[in-house]
Amino acid sequence: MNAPLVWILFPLLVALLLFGIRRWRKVSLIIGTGFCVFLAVLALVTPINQATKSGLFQFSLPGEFSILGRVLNLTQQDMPIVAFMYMVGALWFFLSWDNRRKSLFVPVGLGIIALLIAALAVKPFIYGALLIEAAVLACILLLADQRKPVGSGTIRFLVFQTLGMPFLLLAGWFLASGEITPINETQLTLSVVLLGLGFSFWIGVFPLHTWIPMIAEEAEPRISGFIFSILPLPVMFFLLDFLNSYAWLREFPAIFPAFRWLGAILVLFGGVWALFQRNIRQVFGYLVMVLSGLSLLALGVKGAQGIHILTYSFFPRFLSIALISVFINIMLKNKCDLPIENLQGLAWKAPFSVLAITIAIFSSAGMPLLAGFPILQGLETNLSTLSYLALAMMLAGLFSLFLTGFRLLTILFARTDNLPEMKETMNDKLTIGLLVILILLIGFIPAIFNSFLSNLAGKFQFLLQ
Amino acid sequence: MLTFFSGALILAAVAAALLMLLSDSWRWTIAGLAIQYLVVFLLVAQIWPIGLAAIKLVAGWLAGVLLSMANTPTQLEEPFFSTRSASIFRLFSAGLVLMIVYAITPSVNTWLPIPFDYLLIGLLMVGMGVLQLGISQRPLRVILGLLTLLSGFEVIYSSLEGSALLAAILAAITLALGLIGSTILLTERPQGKA
Repeated sequence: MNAPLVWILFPLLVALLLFGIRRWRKVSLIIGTGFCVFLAVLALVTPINQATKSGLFQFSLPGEFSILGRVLNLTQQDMPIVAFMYMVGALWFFLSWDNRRKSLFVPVGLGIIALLIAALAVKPFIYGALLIEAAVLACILLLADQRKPVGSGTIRFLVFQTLGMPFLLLAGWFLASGEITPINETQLTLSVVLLGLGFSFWIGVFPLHTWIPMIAEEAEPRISGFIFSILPLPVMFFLLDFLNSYAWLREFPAIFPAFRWLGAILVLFGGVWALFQRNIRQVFGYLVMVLSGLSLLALGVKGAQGIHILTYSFFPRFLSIALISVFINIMLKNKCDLPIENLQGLAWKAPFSVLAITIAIFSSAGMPLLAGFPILQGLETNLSTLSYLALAMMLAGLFSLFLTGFRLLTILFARTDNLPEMKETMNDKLTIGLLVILILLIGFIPAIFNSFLSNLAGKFQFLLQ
Repeated sequence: MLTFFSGALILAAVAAALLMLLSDSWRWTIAGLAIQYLVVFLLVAQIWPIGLAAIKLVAGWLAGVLLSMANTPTQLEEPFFSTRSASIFRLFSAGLVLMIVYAITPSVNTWLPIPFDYLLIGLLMVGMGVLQLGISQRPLRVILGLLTLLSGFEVIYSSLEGSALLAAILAAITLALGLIGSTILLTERPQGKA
């Protein structure tokens, strides 16, 4: 028994089993959710590659597993992100409880998580690009599983993500060849360009972002939420692996400023566009763009500070996406129109739903006492010493997101005779309540949640210097 | 210097790409895909062990089978796409891509130290794949474009790196694209048609 077997191959087998029993929807959901929780807890308490037997278990799992001449290697430092990803998976599966038709969500979702963890574990790490692509293809299966023709957003998502992979593999080959022979300036520039193109396709950097609002608009909200919250995590780690592995890349003078500019542009455009949208689902898409921009800005802050901001941002990102997905799902369940002007007076009929959407937007915009505030604070402090223009662009984008929130509030609280027909179930209220409490808790005591994922920074020791 | 064998492979790759780009018949299109994967196999078999190279052929052909199983005869027909002027436009676009590829291959070859014919065929497939992706939004054409693009990339990358895991994952990706293509085509099929 070894760690990759437990957290990668075993879940893939369970995913196959769940695929077989998907017609028993509730059973599949309970097994999938329970299994994810089990793996998340196990990841937190099981020692990996420890010489001394201590703690809860008097054994230690080896971290390596050889497969087809290459190695899957999970270390103790990987365990928090493994636990986080399975926990996020469990929450999304739980949120799909009221889905009334048989769906591929649980089996394919579990498979996606296992593939993404394999992408984090595979050595040489460059093979992670292939595994992330495999996970993307599984995401397309989820998006296509909707009993209606797939939209152009899904097709564009498939094309952009697939185009990214060859660029990254070639960039990896260029950089790896530099370990054998000295790399020259042109080679380095070429590999940085390839790397930039690859990640721009994957993350959805402007102007390659168009698939994000399109997916948000056409996909089932819990599926789009799952994809938006889980797919960027290994992509960011893959990028960090690149920077950590190749000294000449991280010392290339343009690399960190490039992250800052791309991040600032993404936050600015995402925030401004969100303000002018007429449909909540499009606002959702642009909010995801802002969150991706903040992650890139964190990467642009060189050193330990940047990585700590990035790892901290995982929790608030997930919670904001989950809240807005829950809101859209409640609207769809009630056959409510999602154009914003049709939601007048919604606060008087569905206060919990309104709480969900406003908290999601304000937290992402960095409102004090909410989970997103420490990210804004950390980025402000660091960017003020690095680039005033990037800081100004970020603040302008977040201010626009704030205005989007206020605009929504004025519509949602408007007094009108034609209130939308809405009914919130106890389940909806409890879910929203739990997510809002978590956002407030993280906002009040960020250090506790930050310490959970901050160990991840140790994985990238060269970037910490 | 191109040998007769590599010249034949280049011609076969061009023919396969043109077949997929120009034809409105799904049979000819899938035949083009099959020829393309045969070319990939014949190229990769010269660098990798034949068993490993055969994975590419099997995966590519299986992807073709998956696509044909879910295909509907009208899938490739588009109002503008089927006109003569559209066909001439596509032919000229393909000619332009071929010229660009032929022109840039020597300079790319200075950065990617692989045999010239591999790079030429690889870039040709990538270019034709991008062209296919750029001129149609129909799912089958998009999937064919992606498969062509990835085939070209596989030809180039197999000269740079070879491992069983790489071959396995790339084959899985090819198969998954075929599966996704057939799933998408099935969701697009009008109700009542078998």
